[in-house]
Amino acid sequence: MISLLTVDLTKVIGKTLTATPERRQEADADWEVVKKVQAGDVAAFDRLIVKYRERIYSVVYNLCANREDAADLAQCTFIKAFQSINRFQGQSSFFTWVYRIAVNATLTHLRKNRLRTFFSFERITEEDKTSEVIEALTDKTGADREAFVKELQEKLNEALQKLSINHRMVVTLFEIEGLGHSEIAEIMGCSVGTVRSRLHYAKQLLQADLQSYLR
Amino acid sequence: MPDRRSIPPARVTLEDLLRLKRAERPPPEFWSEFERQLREKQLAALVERKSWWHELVVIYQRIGRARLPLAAVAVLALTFVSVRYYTQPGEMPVIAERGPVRLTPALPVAAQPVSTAPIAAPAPAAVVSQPAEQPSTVVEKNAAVVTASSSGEVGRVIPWLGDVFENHADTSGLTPSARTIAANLATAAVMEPELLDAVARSRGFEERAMPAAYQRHTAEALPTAAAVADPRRARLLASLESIGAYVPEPSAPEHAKRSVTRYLAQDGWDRSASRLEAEGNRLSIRF
Repeated sequence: MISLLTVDLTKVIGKTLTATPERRQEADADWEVVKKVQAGDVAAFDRLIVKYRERIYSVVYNLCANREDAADLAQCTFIKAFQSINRFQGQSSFFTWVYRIAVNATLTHLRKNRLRTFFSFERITEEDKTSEVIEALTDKTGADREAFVKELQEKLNEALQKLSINHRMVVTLFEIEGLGHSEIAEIMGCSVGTVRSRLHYAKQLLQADLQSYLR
Repeated sequence: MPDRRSIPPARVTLEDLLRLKRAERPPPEFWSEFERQLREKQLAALVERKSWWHELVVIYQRIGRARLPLAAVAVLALTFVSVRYYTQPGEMPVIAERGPVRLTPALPVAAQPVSTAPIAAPAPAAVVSQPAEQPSTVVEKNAAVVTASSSGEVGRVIPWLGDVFENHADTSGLTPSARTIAANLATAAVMEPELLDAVARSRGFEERAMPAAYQRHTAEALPTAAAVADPRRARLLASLESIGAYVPEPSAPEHAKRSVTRYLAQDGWDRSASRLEAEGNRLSIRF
């Protein structure tokens, strides 16, 4: 019993140490909303949907590279979260919990449809930083520039899809979603060391695949 | 989502390329459609009837949370009970224990002829001229053993167990289960001798009752057990001790006489004999 308690305490302390203050604040706010939902205020769950729908959709989309499947899986994620909300004890943040549901649903979907590979992409929204990268890669303008961006997007997705599911997931969560190693480890249910090694290996593969775009 | 670093103008890294993926976002109108579909799915999920085993899964998941503490408690309890059981042999349950048992020669079990005497070397006779009259002596010899004590009584029925009791007059050296079995067998020997005989002859009884002792004594007990299995056969074989000479049947063919002589010269011919018959002053042996 003492050892079990020690393990739990270590987990809690570890989480507290690794979580940033913003994340902790966010987790506390979410926990308050979750408590309301658990008490019967079903409408409060809508606030959580609106808050996390883009992030959840983005994760799923980058994992399966299909916008229709991504929308479907993101909706399923929220339905599952709503159905299981009473079992959420607040031991992890709601954000981590809902991400884990999304990742598991996507993994199941990808394993079921391993042979069906149909990609459909969202448009790249040009912002300051995106434009800088594109301008560094090409000096084309107009339609040529659009064609180049489309081609680059396809190459990027192709390179990501060549990775194994676990490697793709680590790259997506770290590089695209901007999560920390410990958060990824918690979502994927593995050690931080495993996350680091998977990330390193995945980046090596991507580097080799996208060599022609790197300057 | 904070960017980790700014992009140098003339250099594009892998991280910069992956940052482009962040910019792949659906248009704002996508979210209204998303919400509408989500509402529909939520309603469908509410209406959907869950199968009967779904509740079982939920219960299992609830129990599953406490499975580690439950398993630890179970192991501790089992350990506690086992240790307690083996450190307090005096409190063990014994079926109808009645203290030391004294058997009298009049007990019916004593009258059963059992041969534990060593069987003599095979006499060279396929048809012997003397009748088998010695078995009565054998019976008396074994009856003396049987009536010696309760442990001797048990030992008669189960030879290796008898040896255990003789070597452990003070049973404190035995395991608790061995003591229990001994006490129960002794009681059974007095109350239900026929039942004890039946139990002892049942296949695998010794192995189940006392595996360790069984393995130790199997080697010595087997020849005796073979003799005990058929008292009449044992009696006839024992009578061959006093046989003087092998007298072949004059009318028997020559090759039969040779075969018989060869069989009788072999060690353990008595085990290969399939049938023994005494008739008048003749003893017939069939191989």
